[in-house]
Amino acid sequence: MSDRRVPTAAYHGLRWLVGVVAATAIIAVTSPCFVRSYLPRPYDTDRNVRVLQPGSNYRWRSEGYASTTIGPHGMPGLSELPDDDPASIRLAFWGDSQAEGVCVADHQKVASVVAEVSGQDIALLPLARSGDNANDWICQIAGIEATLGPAAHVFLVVELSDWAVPVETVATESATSRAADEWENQIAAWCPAFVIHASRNLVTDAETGGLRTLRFRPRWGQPAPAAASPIQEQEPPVAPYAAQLDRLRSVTDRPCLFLYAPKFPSIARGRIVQKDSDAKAFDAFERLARERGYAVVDLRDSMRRSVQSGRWPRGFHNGQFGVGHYNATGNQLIARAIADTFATGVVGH
Amino acid sequence: MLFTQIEFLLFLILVILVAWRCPGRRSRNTVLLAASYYFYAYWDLRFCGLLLLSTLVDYWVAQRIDRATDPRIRWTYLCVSLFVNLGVLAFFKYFNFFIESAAAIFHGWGSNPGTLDLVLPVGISFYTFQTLSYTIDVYRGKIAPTRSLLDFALYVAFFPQLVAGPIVRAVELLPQLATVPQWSSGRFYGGFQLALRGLVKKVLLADRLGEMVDVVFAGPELYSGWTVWLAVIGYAGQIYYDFSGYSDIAIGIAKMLGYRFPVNFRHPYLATSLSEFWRRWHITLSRWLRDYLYISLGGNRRGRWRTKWNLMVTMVLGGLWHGAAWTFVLWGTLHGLALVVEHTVRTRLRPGARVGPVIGRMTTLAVVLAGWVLFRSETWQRAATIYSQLCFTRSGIDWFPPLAVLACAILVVDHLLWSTRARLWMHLPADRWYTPTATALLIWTLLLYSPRGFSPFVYFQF
Repeated sequence: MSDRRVPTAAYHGLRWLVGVVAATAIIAVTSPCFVRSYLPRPYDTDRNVRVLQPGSNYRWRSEGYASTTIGPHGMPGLSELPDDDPASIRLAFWGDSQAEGVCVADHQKVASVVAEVSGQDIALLPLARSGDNANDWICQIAGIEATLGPAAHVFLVVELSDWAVPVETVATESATSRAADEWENQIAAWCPAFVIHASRNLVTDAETGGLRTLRFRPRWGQPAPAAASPIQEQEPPVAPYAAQLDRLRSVTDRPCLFLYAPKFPSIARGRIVQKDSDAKAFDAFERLARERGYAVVDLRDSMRRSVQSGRWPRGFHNGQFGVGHYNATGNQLIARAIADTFATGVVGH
Repeated sequence: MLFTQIEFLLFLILVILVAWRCPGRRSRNTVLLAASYYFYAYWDLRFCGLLLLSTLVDYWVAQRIDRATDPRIRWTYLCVSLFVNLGVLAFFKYFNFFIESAAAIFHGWGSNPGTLDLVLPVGISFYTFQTLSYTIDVYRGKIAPTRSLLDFALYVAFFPQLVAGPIVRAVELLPQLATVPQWSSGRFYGGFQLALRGLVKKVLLADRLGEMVDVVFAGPELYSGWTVWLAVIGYAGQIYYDFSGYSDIAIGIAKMLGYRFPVNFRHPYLATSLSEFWRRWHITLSRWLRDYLYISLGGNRRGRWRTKWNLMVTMVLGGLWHGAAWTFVLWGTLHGLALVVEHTVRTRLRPGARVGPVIGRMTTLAVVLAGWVLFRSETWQRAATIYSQLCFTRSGIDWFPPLAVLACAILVVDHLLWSTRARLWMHLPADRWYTPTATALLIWTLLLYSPRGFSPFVYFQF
């Protein structure tokens, strides 16, 4: 007779519990290499918006794998405020996620490259945030001018629709939204990123970003395929552009530069798209901006030349070239345009 | 309903709970049949009618064949089954293809023929072959027809294999459905592990590869030769992990419910000859084509030339089975020609002589990869561009997504390890110390690193 005992259910339960704990520990240790971070977003009273936690490190793990130092006022890639050097000029840099540049390393971000190519003569304050539009930028300008004192403002215009939004005064946070944001901040502060990420994958819908809805009802017939809507030449939204630009003029009298860098050229359905579908809208926007004394720089030609030389300004190996966010090449083109524009004195300061 | 949907997971848990609670065969099979029809109706309720038609026709035909003694009457009934099943398949799957092809031949390219706005019922190619195998086996006297319409209906519609196989034969499943399976925690656990592995194959490997493959195959002229090579190898990995992943999930689910399905894949890229490849790739289709088409045509019993002809016909029709497009016909033709060459070489070799495994494997891989280019390309012109890019004829974007490279590396390592003892631990046996950790790691990995967005199984379109 063998002395060997048959494992009990409790033994198996314990074995599996230990296994699950060990696997979770392995994931906890390795996930920073592959899972983005979820940071609390404290309220910045100078900017009147929520920003990424200053002093933290933000990991981006999507098309580009990069870590970003979050500086004062939630500025990505800037560990500390630039010195008050009278010889250098300080510029506020506004935009959405394309200008935020969390896909690339700090030394490849627009602010770093501008400082480098200008010989530290230009200090760019990276104030862009993902998802922002004209309403968000204009509402922050007064606070930023008061605290950081930029000599001029630079707007990276990737999607003109950001300037076609109806004028809205972004008020200070309501009690409800503040409570919701604080709750999210608590989760981001205490819950490991991999747990938040897994839960998010499970409960949210990839297409809409909202909560996942489940369907259990059998279907009668097939859903009609979404008809490919022909690209129609629409009249540019001149009135909203004018309203936003007038509002910008009303909040600041400092020089403003608009850098037009649309998602162009791009790759769609296996073809290089050479036509800027917003060309007509840009003409209208440029005219309106110049009428108000603003400088406008069109980056389309330099983007096109870059593509012709085999260097795509957008896209990453981990994503897809020709789509997505600006990469190191794209950031360099943008930075050089800023440095050149201010070096030639096109924008007064 | 896809195996990768959360809705399916909830549906499966409910079905497993109810099925194992059923007291008898009849109640169990009724529950499984209702679940299977719900599973199919979830996609489109209307096509449940086709499933029912196929079931009723073949049930009735098999009974008639069994009762008839006159060979001509038996043959007539078999023809009824062939006519109905293949007629429905031909109408839904091939009508537009034949009309367009005929129009192209007779009126020149670019004409506008009278095609119909048809939706291909999902899984029709699979369940048509499955029911046909039953009728043909009854006709050949290999099996006796089942008296239970319930069992037969469940055999045709059983949800794990309904839409993309494995193509299970009546002789394999009907006897299992005629009894109540005995609960076995070991078997249930084995099924769960298999289904989990299938899910990992599909979601983490196939879908990741698909993200790159789709882009490169949409515009191969934009990319460099190395990138196109990666995409072609990536597609070999994608289609293997997609389909074998689906098969693993199907076999695993059946196992959790107490039934055994045949194996559908055996690491096909290890094959040292094309005929061996087809004994490792989509095995249930290969043996269907062999037993019901190749052998029906005479197989290798009517001389060398007839054997070659039979091989060609079988492979061309096998290609057409995959899809109504000339690229599939070309793919089938390529495989047919390669099999003919292989057959010729084999018959000319001295007795006992054979091609070395390395040369055999490389040659087989070359043919298979060349075939996948045709299989994946939407048009033969695009396939020609890919072949040209594979020869580094022009420069383009160098694009090497790390996750696609990693998935290709896993494809290679997976195949290499499978031929060693390591495959034993890859199956995660229940009693090994590492199994709980490895299982939990797989689940975490699925939750964290699955590509987001809808991605149907490749073989659903067939």
